[in-house]
Amino acid sequence: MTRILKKRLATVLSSIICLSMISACSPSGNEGKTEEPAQQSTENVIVDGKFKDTVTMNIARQMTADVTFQKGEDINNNPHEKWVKDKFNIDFNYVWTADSSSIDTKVRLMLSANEELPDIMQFRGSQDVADALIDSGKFMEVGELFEQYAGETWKQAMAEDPSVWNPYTRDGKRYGVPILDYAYNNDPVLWIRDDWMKKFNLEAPKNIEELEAMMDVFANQDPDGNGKKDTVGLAVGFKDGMKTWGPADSGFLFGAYGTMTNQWNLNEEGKLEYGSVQPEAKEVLAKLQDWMKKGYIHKEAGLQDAGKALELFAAGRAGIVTSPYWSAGWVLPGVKEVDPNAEYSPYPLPAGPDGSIGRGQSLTSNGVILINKDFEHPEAFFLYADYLFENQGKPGSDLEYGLAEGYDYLMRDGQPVWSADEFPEDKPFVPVPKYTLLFDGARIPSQMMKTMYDLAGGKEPETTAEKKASTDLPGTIKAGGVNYEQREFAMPNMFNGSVTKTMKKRWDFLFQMEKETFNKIIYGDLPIDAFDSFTEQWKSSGGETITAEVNEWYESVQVK
Amino acid sequence: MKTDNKRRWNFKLTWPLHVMILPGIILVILFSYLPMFGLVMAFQDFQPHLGFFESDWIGFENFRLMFEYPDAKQVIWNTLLIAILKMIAHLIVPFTFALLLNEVRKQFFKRMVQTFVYLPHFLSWVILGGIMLDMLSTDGGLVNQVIGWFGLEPIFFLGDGDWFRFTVIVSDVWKDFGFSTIIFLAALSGVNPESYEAAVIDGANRWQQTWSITIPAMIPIAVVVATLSLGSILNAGFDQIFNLYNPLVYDKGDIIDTYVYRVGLIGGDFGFGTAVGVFKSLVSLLLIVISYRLAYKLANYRIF
Repeated sequence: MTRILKKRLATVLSSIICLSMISACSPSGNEGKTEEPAQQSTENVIVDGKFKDTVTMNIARQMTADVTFQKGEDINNNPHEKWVKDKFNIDFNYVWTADSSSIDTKVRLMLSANEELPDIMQFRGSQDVADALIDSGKFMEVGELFEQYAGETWKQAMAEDPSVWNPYTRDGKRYGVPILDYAYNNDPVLWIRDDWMKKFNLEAPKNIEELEAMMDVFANQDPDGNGKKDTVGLAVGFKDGMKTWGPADSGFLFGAYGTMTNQWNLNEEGKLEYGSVQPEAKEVLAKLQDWMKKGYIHKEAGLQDAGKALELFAAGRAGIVTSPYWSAGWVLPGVKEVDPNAEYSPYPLPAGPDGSIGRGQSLTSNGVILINKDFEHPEAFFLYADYLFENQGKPGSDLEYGLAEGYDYLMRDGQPVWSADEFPEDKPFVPVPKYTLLFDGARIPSQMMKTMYDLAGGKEPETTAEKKASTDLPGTIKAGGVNYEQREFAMPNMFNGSVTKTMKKRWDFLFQMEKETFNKIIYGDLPIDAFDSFTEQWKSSGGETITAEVNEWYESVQVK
Repeated sequence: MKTDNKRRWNFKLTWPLHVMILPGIILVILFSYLPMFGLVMAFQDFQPHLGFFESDWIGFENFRLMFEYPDAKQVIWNTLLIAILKMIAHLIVPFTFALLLNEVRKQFFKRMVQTFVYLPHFLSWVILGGIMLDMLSTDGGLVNQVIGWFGLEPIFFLGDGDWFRFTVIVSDVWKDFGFSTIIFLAALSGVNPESYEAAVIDGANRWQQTWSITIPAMIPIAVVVATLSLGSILNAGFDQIFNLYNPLVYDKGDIIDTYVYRVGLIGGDFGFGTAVGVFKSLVSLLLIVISYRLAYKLANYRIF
């Protein structure tokens, strides 16, 4: 009896395990795809900024992790979606969403399976997938529509950095609307220890020569007064290349000599050239080698990445560092814990021997909108986006304080409140601008730094943007102002297409060789003249071909 | 006829067991065998948006390039050197340590030491990388301070190519030797105590006992460990190198895995990355087969 029972039990158990396995493995098959035919009406016209008949817009979007909702709401049901319906008679219908980690794969699969694509593709993934989407030929040219429907504000915002169009341009035609982001966000300013400067009666350096003099004092005259020679002048990290993503960057030195490393610069002949192989880079390397020898920079700079090098300043061991404006709130304040008397402020970047100044420029564009060729009403997107650009934060507009009252702002006694702490627990603050088709609402690239610059100049906050920015740390605002003042010296990487054929094969080798040679020169393991043989080898090992490919690309994206 | 009968009867009795093993088989097929399909990338000029079916076939082009690029050759050489040195160190150190620990009479002390030395095995290289950067710093790092007491110049452990290899091997052994020691200790616990008693009666001293009983008892397991580790001769330890290397030591420290990571994942050349990976797997497979035969011949060790 028991034996039979045991056997039965085993049978049942095994089949349960098996079944659960099978059900777990089979595709679930509910992709949530609703196929609604787009509203078609030949006479659907825009009257007073609103469509006469409802326009259904089938959208696929990338949901970045920071999109959150109030209870019971989702991307297809939220105040912004309702506002769009009321305002423009456009029905946002999200057919699918994917998070940032899976969007690339999802789109690749869709393309290879030849699936139907949505009317609007809101994309912030990798460039080669964006290329694949455009090259599939299923999306329309948008350049003319933009010219026709975009208003002044939007056009000017796009004109701040025209290179944002380049990745989406084919044979002079534009196939995607770039999403704008705040510019200069990671551009460096010079941070100097004010208390050390005061101690030795120094002034902020205006050129490299004065910077050298200051570094010499900081490295050799014991600025922290602990009796040990344990300080350096400048904190820089070379581990990931000369130009970092932001902090502890040495790109500004190359800028002072008239080029920018690790990126493609436009030269006088209108061609793109790679900064690290230009003769100017050799002068900078000679300087750095000298500085390393003299102890102006840390002897482990080659082992340190941006974050590690920035810690040197935060640990009170370095007197000067370049870092973005937001460093005032992150990492740099750490120095006060080491030395309560530590004072530091942002200063403009110093100029080189011939007066040139330069810094790497962070990206101004972050994503793209693609519009399906078969979409009946492409102007719907422009109508909507242009309204955001014209009205977001403008006094007197329905979007003056935010996109939805009770969601991204509260009204209290006739005054707007933005602090998340003020929101009731059951209806918390949610970032409504992230619900828009523009990812973060309408962002005018220079606006953030401009606002900081105005505030740093003593302007009373009036507009929504100014009021919001004025809650930032004074150091941050001041640095933002310094950053904005030097914006003309920002050098964008002119190559923002996807990697070229030879780049794919040889770039790792070339970049590795660059880092190795540069570091060895700086450390004195190789003589300065090794730079010349490096550029020779760089060119012959694929660099020349890549330069040609990059220029070919650049040629192809020029709007004729 | 008779065996045939028996087999059928057996299956009737054991089929639930076969069903139970099914999920495991499905999992292995799903996650280990199906992904192998991706190996076709090694023979293609793989373009992600074209996929496996539409990318151009280029035959052995990727493999040819691998042996042509000067950087790839250097990387293979680095990998072999670091991996072989690690293998040797990983054999000698735990072997000796187990031998020493076996002589310790106090159980408590023995257990404590055992636990201590195998703790680092559980630390991640990401964390250790940061700690080592500080400890080995030429600027007030613990190790260089100690070196300074002897009046020696500080050593640039992570910034000098040869010292970098040395550091990589020593730190890897430090991290993992405790874990390997356990295997040897297990072998030792299997030695019949009567052998020692007999040796004592024959008048053997401790050294003679070790030489004639303990070491011979450990040799078979040492052979097994050594031969099996041959299979991983091209694994020089991605996590470790990735967290420790820097531009100053690329020429001496870059290994296949970090190279594949950079070229394949960062650079986006999936085809070439896969080709290098396939090359690595093939060499490993070959060595595993050889080492398995060797282990069987030398130590009579077999899995199947």
